[in-house]
Amino acid sequence: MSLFNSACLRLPIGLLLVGLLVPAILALAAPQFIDVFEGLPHWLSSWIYLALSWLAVRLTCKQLLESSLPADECPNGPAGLQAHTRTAELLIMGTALLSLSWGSGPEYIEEAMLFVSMRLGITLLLLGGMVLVFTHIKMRGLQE
Amino acid sequence: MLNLAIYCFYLAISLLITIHIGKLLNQNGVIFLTNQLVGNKPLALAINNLLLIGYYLINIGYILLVLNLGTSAMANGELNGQLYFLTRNLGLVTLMLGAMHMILLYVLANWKPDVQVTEEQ
Repeated sequence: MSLFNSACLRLPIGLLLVGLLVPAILALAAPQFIDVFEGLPHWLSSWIYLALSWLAVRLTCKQLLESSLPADECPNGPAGLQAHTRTAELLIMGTALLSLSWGSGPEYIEEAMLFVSMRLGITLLLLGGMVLVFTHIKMRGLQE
Repeated sequence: MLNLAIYCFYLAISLLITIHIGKLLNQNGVIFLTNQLVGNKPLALAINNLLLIGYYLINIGYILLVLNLGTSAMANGELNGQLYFLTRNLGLVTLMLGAMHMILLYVLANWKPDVQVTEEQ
């Protein structure tokens, strides 16, 4: 459970809570704006997608920083690695934000699931590619 | 609503297969890598861990992306379409797992690291 108490995961979990709680609070505080809820599947799927991709990016960066090659094997040391992972985090989250505008928004729960899965799939593939490229560079460095 | 259940079933089965194979590869890969690295176990564990993270991310990303394929076959709500969706997508996922495994084996078999055994080992 210590993983979910980790400081680096507070922001993505906070983002998820904001996305889920705002419609509920709006429904209780201002029921006259009921028309707003026509776009609820789109709203929820966008926030869930952003929170999940940020969570994945942060967990991957945390894993990369914690379980990377021993420090004496890395030419740049932990500072260089941290800079690379932060750059990758920014690039991937930028792509995630851009991908929200692709196509039309979902209207039903099935469409919302497909909306989230396609975008999250692309984000995870990008992240996986980043990890494998990083591993490849480190392995090439050890080669004869 | 049945389509949603099929999506969840597909995700559950694919993730179970991916996690099970990931654990198997992680257990056996560390022995292989330790041998390649002439007994340098901390380095073998670090590389093994990085490869496992990459494996999980690529495969889970692929599973989620493949979820969007073949959804038109399920539009009629007939059982044939749902069965077609499940078999085709699960087949694609297992093929991807096999391809990833073969690529990793090929890369590691051709990898000749230049490491020396440290004193504590």
